[in-house]
Amino acid sequence: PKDLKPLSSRYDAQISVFGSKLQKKLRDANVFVVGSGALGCEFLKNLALMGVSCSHRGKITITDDDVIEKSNLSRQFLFRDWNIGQPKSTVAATAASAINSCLHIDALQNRACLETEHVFHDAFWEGLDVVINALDNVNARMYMDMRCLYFQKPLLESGTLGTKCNTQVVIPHLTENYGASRDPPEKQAPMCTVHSFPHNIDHCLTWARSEFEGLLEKTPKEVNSFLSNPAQYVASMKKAGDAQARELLDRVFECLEKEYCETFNDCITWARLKFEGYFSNRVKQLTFTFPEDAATSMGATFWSAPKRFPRPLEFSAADSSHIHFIMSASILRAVSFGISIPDWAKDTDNLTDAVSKVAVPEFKPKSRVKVETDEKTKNISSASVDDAAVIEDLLSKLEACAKKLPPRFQMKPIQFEKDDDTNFHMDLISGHANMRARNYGIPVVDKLKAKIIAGRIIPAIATSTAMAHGHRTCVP
Amino acid sequence: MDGGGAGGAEGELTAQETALYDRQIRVWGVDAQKRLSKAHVLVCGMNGTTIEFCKNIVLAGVGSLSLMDDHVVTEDDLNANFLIPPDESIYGGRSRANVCCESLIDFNPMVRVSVEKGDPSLIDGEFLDKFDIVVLSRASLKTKLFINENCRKRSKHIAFYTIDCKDSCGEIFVDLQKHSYVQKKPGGATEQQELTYPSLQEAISVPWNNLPKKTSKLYFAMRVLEDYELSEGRSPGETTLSDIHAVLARRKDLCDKMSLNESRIPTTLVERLLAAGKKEHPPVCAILGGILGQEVIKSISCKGDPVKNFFYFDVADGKGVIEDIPPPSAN
Repeated sequence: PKDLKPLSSRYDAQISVFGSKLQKKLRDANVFVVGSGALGCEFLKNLALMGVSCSHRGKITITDDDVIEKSNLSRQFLFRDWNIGQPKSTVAATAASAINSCLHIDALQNRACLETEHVFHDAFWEGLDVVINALDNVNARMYMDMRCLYFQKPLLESGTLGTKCNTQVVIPHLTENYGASRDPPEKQAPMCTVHSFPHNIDHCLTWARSEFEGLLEKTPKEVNSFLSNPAQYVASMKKAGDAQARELLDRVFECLEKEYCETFNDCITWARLKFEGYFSNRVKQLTFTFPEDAATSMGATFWSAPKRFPRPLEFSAADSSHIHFIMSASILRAVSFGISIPDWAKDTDNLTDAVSKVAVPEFKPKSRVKVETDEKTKNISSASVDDAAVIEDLLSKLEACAKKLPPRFQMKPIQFEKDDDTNFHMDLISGHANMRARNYGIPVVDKLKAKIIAGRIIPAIATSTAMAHGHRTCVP
Repeated sequence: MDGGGAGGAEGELTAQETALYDRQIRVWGVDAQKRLSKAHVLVCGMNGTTIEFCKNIVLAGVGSLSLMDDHVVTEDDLNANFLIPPDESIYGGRSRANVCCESLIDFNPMVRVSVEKGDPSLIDGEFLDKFDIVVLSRASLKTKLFINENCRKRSKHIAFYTIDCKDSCGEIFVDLQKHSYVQKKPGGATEQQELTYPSLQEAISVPWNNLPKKTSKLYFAMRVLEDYELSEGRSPGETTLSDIHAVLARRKDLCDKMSLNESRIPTTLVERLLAAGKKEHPPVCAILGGILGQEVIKSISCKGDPVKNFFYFDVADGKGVIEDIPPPSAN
């Protein structure tokens, strides 16, 4: 047929496959590429070679809020050593333009999510012809799927895991959408196992990572949202009035009152007391509630496999892993409070000296403490007699303690970053997990193994990515 | 060492290597990464498929990569070759190998990428001893057979591959001679396996009526084209639609000789392949280059089931197919 006749252009190979009408459509296409990682790079290369969005009417919009890191370079091939630290989308767009100078491309640094709908607004969406996901997580995929459904836009979806990859084409009214089928859920340990009955290092790392996020990211964020608009915050908490709101407030109050840090020495005290709380008091309480010879209601031994009976650790400044826990915890605490870190903080002798001056109150286990033992329980929230009353009380205490803070005080939430070896994040998490492993007599791990588990790193390589993208761009 | 060719795994990875290859080491392990970094690869013929392959193995951290292609770059090369900047003042008058080499060096400073001048059809055996992996693309059947036989005559193990993309169809041929590797069983157990490959000559000499009914039509179509180009003294890809009658006549001759029904090689498919000439569809190149990269990594690391011995892909049905020729029963 005439449509398939070559036009002596660089796109003849695909004109002979798809025809010149489609080539014109590709040229005029308005494409939204979400993500500029490994898949995004492959995508841009293929789109550029195919002449997509190369007329004045066509445009590719690529967005990614991430910057280039060393470990990206082994597969995100549009990036070079000298691009480390630069925004992924901008560098990728420049590289794609070098492959095909006719390409019209816009690079943005916005994450596609609820908060950026003023950037990716209705008019933007309505002008699109196709959306290409080059994402690395299910939540973002679900969000994009929802937006594509709403605006009735075709979506090309793909992903890789190690040497495996998948692709899916979603066309309105023709195929099912991405969210209609589910990938198998990630394997997750029961909550009570992670909280009280770990039996392998993964459980310890999961716990360490969730404590890291709770103390250093979520609570500081919550503190900031209270301090930036107390009236609105108070109103929304009163409205919620449930156990979850109460727990949030508990944490905010604890952070600003009991655990408030003003100097680096306060941070050391905080770290030392956390050590005591996590690796000694917690265990003492648990073994008080369930002594070694405890029996279940059925008469069986409570502490039977896979449960492991824990023993408390006694803090010793001579133990280097204890001191390193104190070091990374106090440094990160200082970061979250915006306290400058003195040079001596990284010197174990000075730290040993400072930590020995911390007064550690003696712990007395309490009776009638409830410990969740049901494996089906997904989150641990103890319902209280009267949440609303407790919330009232906490809010009034919080307002009082906000008055004592320096004007315009804000915390600096820390987002977990596994790949920076100098930021102390992995030091704290692997130290925490290993100390907990010692409690339970579980073999400890080195930092690299800890990083794989705690970082939930999905191995990604160039070949799978190339294949996934090749498959995807073949689909007209 | 059988199969790997990349020598032992002694010597540790440097901190720089561990940092760059962090993600993939989690996929194939430190040992495979070390073997990879000691492997030497020769690629003859720079086009859409081979540059995808080169990109993949350079990123993966192969020891060295040598490129052989003295052809001067023309505008036609830009179609699927993203390593050539579309600027005549850069590529004008230079060889494909030279321009591609310059781009590939930037992909990974830890890999030695260099140019080997010369004509693949004149390569001698001793020269091949420098390599563990040899990849040929858009070479004549004569050159393919010649280099394949030469690889087999060497005392060291040299893995041999051909890769070609025509229109939106692709073919990969693999000859690992004797290859032993570790196979992963469901549940995580591993088992040592050994495969014996036929040479290209042995494979294509198998009478077509001995092949299973479901054998890919692309296998036959590529043999017809290859046979026609060989007897007419054409360079690969130089046959065009104007040759259709002669090519269809050759199809009839071969089918008669091999007792195959002509309808197993549809005329429309032959027309598509002829019309394509040397043109390649870039996304198909990405798929083929991805598969070949993975195969070469499997062969170097001696891990995972390799393709034995032909791989086909066609956008028309979107399927990738592995053909084992001769089929195990014919042995």
